[in-house]
Amino acid sequence: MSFYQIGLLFLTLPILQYFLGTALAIKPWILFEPYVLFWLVVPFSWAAEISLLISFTFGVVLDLFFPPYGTHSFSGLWVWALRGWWVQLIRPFHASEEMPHPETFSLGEWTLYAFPLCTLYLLIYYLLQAFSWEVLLWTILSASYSFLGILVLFAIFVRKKDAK
Amino acid sequence: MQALLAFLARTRIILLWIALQAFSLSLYITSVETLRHRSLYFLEVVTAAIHQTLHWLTQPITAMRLYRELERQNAHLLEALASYTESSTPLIVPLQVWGLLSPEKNYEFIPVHSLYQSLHARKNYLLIDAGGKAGLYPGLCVINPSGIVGFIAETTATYSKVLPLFNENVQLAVQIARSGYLGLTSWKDRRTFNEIEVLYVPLYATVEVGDEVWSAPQSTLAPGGLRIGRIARIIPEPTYSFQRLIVRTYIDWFRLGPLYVLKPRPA
Repeated sequence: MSFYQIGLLFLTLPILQYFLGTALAIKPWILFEPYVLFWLVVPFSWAAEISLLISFTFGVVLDLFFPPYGTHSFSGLWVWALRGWWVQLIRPFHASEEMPHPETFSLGEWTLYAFPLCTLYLLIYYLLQAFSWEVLLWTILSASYSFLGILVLFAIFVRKKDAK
Repeated sequence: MQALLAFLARTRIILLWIALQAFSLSLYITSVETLRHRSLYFLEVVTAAIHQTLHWLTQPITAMRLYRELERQNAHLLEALASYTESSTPLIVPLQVWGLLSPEKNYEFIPVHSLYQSLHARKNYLLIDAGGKAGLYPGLCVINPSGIVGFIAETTATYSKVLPLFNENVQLAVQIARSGYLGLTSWKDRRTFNEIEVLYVPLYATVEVGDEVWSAPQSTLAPGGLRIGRIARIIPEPTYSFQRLIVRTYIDWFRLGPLYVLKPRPA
C-alpha cells in the first residue's frame, strides 16, 4: 500500500468509527470496531520505527475521540508487534526474505491473518477495562462482528484487484 | 560504552515499543479515577517499602559513620580535657585510664581500631588500622578506657604494630600509686594474660595487695599517671632485696574495646 492510501485510512477510519461504530454496534454487548484494519495493513516494508510511530499515533488519535484514553494505542501496538510473527506462522511456505503484502492476500489468507489479530486487539482492549467470563464472550462476538466490517473494508478498498 | 550503545541501537525498536506501551498504559491508568487512586496508593506503598528497605540496609553504615564521628568528637573532648590546667577542683576525666591527670604535656587522642591480635604467643602483638598517614610513629602509647595497652613498635602508611604489656620484650617503668615506689613491668616469666609482674620494687617498700599501679612519670614510653592495674600478690625475694608484684591489669586482652593512641603535641 502506498503512503497516500495509508494516510487516507488514517483519516477516514476514525471518522467511520465515529459515525458507524455507534450506529452498527449491538448495544451494549457487541461492539463494532473496524478501525483495527489500520494496524493490519500498515506496510511491512516500511522502516520499523516509522511504522511503529505511525501505528502509535493512530492509536492516540482514536484515544482522543473514544475514551478510555490509552487503550487503543496500547492494544494497537500489540497487534503491530505480533502481526509479523503471525503472518509468518500462517504462511509457512512463503519465502521468508520477501516482505508480506497484506493487500495481496486472498480472502482466506486475510481471514486467517486478520481475525485472530482483531480478536487479540479486542481481548486486550476489553480485558484491560474489566475481566469476567461475560466480557470474554462479548469480546469474541465483538471481534467476529468487527472482523466482518474489516473484511468488507479490505475487500472493497484495500485488496488489489489482481490479488489471488 | 560502545557495547552499550551497540546494544541500544540493536534493541531500539523493542525499547521504543516498550516506552510507547508504558505511555499508553499510564495514560489509561491516569484517565480512570479508581485506577489512578489505586496506582497512586500502590506507588506510595512501593515508595514506602523501598525507603524502609534502604533505611534498613543503610542503618549499619549510618550507625558506623555516627560511631566514627562520635569517636572523633570524644577524642577531641578528651584532648581538651587533658590539657585543661586552670581548674581549681578535681577534673572528671571520662577515661578511667587516667590515674593522675598530668597536664604537663598535651596529648592528641587518635582513635584507632584493632585489626588483629595474637593470642597465644610469647611475643604477642596487635595490629591497628592507622599508621604513618594518620601521624603515628613508633614509641607512641596505646590505651583503652581502662588502662595502658602497649606501644607502637612499627608503622606502615596505613597500619601499625603494637606491642602490648603481654609481650616478653616489653618493659615499662611503673610506680605504686599510693607509695610512689618505682618498678619495671615484665611478662617474661609470667605468661598469663591480663597479669604482669612488676620487678625491682625494694623489699622495704610498703606495698599492699589492692594497691594501684600507674605508669611512672620517669617512663620514656608512656605519660606518667596512666592506670595499669592492681596488685594481686606480693612475692618477697630476700636474696635480691626486692619484691615481685603480680599485677592484675585493668585491660582485658580479650576485650580491648575502643583504642586511642596518645601522641604528644609539639610544644
